[in-house]
Amino acid sequence: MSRRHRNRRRPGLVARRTLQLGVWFTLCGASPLHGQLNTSDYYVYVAAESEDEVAIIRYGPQGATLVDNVAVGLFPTEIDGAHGIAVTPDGTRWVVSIAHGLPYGQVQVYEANTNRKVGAVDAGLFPATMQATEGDLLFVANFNLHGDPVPSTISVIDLGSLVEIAQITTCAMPHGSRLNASATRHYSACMMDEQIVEIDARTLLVNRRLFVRPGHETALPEDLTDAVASEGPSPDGSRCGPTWAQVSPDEKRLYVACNKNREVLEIDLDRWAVTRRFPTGAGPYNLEVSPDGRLLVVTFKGEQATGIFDLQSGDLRATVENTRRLPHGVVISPDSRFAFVSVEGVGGEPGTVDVIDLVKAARVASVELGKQAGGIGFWKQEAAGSI
Amino acid sequence: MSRFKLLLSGVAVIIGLSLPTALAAQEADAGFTVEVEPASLSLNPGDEVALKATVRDGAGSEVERTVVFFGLQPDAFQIASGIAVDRNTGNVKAHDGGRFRVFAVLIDEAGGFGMNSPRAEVPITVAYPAVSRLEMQGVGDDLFVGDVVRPRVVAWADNGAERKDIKPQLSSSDDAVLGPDMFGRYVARTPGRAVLAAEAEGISIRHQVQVYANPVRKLELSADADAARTGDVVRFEVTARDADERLVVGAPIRFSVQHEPVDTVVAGAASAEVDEAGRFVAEVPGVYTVFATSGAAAASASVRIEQRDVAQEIAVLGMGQVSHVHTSDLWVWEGADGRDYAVTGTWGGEGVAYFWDVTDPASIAKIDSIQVDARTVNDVKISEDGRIGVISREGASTRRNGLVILDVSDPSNVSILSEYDDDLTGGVHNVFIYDRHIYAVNNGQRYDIINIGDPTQPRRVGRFELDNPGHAVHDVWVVDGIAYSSNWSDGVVMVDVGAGVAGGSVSNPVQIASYKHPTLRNHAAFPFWSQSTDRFYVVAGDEIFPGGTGDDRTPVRTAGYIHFIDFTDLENPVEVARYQVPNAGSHNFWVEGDKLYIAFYNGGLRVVDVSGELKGDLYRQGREIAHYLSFDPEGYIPNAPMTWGPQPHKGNIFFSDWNSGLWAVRLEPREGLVP
Repeated sequence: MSRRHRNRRRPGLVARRTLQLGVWFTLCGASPLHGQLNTSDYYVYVAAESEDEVAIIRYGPQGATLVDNVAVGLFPTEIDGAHGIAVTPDGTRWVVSIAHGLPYGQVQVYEANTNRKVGAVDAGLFPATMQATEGDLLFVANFNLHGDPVPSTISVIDLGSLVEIAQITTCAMPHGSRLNASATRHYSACMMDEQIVEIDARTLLVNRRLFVRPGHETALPEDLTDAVASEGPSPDGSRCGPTWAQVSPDEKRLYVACNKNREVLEIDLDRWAVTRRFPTGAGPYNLEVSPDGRLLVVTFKGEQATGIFDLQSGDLRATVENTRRLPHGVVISPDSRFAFVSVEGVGGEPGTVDVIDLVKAARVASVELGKQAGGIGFWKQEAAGSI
Repeated sequence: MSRFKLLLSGVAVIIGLSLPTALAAQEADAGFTVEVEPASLSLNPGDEVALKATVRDGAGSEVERTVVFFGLQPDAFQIASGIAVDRNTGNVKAHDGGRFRVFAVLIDEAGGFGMNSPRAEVPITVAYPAVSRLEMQGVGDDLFVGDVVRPRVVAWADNGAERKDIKPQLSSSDDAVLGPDMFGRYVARTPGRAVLAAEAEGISIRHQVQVYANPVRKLELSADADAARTGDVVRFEVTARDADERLVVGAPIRFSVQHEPVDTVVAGAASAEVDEAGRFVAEVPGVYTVFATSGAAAASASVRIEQRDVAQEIAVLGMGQVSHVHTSDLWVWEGADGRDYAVTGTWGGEGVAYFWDVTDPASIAKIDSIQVDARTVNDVKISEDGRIGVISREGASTRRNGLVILDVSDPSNVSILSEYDDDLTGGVHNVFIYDRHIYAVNNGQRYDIINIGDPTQPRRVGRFELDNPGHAVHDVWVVDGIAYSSNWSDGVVMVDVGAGVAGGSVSNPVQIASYKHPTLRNHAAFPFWSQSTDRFYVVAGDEIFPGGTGDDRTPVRTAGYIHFIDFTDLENPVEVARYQVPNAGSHNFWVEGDKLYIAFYNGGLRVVDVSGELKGDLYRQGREIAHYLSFDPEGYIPNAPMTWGPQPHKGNIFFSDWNSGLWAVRLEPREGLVP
């Protein structure tokens, strides 16, 4: 299907976007970055799940470039599913989760500057999204996407010794493994169990659970792994289908992508309750809050677009069309200037990283990589041309 | 790294604090101490005890501070699996026997802890279940002088489990009669009576052995053949007689072999073997003399071994080139119209399967293709009547992989009958069609059995899955109502799915036998009754990549070999032979008649003579009939043979190659002797 055909099928999108961009540019007059030239090089890692590769992408004044491709996985003649990416906070290592194993998936650790493999450790079934702490702990959501919908776990792996020190049972299909800024709380979304789980990163115990079925949001007992069975079927069939959870930089709010309900929930972490709802495009999937706390960027997997929300007003400021179908992950540069969006594509299409200028609210570059680009992690920002 | 450092490297990072912050906070706790009561624990399985931690400041005063608890194995930085420790409350619950440690560590004011944090260590011993009995294995009641045995004492707990932590020491009441040698074996040295004894936890065992004088005074040795070929199994029969010419049964017999090589064999390696049952096989030609000894009696017999001489040439007939994408598996069949067709999958591409007319292998023609939402169509299979096809999907954009059922009654106009992904979303790596059912490997963990009596309405009727922790499955193949699955470290598993052997059916699969081969890398399996013996073998292949993953445009290194498992006695399968090619690894294979066709990845197509009884290394025995390396300068990776799967069909051999597509070759007739 050509891009022209796709746009024709969604006539409201272009007009809506034009209007949004107008509002956006008006508001951006106050942005400290408005009008500034980009003088930095930004580097991201992207996992290509149907290629078993990790791409290193650089974006700078000269545009976006595929710097390197690193073969990962277990078997060269099988697609093992490189899914999630995490970069250690000190930037010295990157970690990729390999979804399929024998049968457990694996976490593989690489040196950032050399791309030399440091080691690997088994995790659970279909390890997916991950985040590492400054203390070298890696929290891995064992998605168990393809098994029976039974409670799965969050693996906690000591990256120093490459030892899995805990598996914390949370719910069916945990995804969106993210820590708060001080790394004292971990959050994950339970796609099949309609809940968000908070883990105390110190005790490695489940702290709180929140049921997020639309209209029925409520706190759950901390030991309840099967919320849907407990709460019963949805009377109107509505589902949140949470796929991602991300804490605001000030650690006061949590944002949850309701993939099945075209909305993002804002949860007050003190009250442990939903305080705002942001209507989105189809299939909100991953999301990221800008480091300055002003913007929320959400991939709309169901409509080949990425949304940019103003967190103060809660408004959708812009919708940026992605290069290909199935936008997946998003990371934002530390200066809150650019969002990097991985786009899966379909079949033999290459994966893509779209670079979105958050000041212009526009896609400013794209670069192709291996098939089914998914997990994405920000590595570093440095002066352009640095070696 | 020392154990202590390992521990610290592990526990120091439990809290995600920045190091400078953590260190500063820990320094503030200098002088603090943590005390735990009780200071040590001895528990039984099921016991539960709460540890109480007390924190004192530098002045020795008790202070209110937070302590967390961690359980570790005694000898490594590893979570204690035999105890459960509540990190907050210090509650310890014992599950399994062993020695463990629990650390109680002071949480600093910043909320974390590290190397310098005050801590206390509590050693914990969990008792194993008591030994209820000992069992002596590996030695009978009667021995002859000269017998060598390897007794083993097994300790059984009162819960029925083996106490592997206990290695009872064995002793003999009379080493001169029956005593140990320097290799841990026990040798019957002189006639008499000896008692082997062992003791553990107050439980003892005594096993009396009577050693008799070896009555053998004469041995007669004969072979079932005077001449044979390399790889043939020759059986040497021994008759032992006493001084009165009476037959002696059960006398200890030892075999050895001497080789006189032919002139062309110089500085050869070990060239033959003879086992304890007198079964002999040679790898190189020559005259072999087998010796049998028993006490002072000895006998010998010789056999002439000729080179097996089974080599044939391979002629390339044609090729269906696929060079823009990797090719995966193939299936060749006679279509409903009597013509011959093949289907090949693609790997890491656009989810396409290609259909070929191979009636004339010299003119292979691509006649149709089908594209599905996938990146890899790893496996392709066709029903027995040649009308229904199934292809597997991996890398679907919806992540709902499953399989696709095709109408291939007209291979020039293949159409999709149905898609089936119910509970198969993890990716179907391999499939098989047998008797109106699809056997689909589901997410590498089990196989599902799907009825396709109506191929437009497939429905799951059964599934089979091992139940041991960490089980995995890679492939399944069905013959005569028995499914042979390949299960990596769990080896080959045979399941009755309708054979009537164990009452199994498609809706009630029943496991009937299994075998784990030592490489623990079972990737494929193919059963066959030997045409020239009455033995039932299962061929089991490894898949190993010693170089790991690599660049998609660089040839791949492979390893692993073919295991031959004699399953004639289903309850006692024995691995009897191997076929191992240097610097190459096995993938898929097929047996027809007395020939084994193997795709040996970078080692190309291999054709192996598997006639007769199998023993030893078939490659070194010269049983290889032919091999062909599928070089293609226009391949996806040029000139890099990577043979994926073979299939003999109507006298020709078809095989798929990962880098170049579909090939058709033929074994050339052996030329007669030139006068």
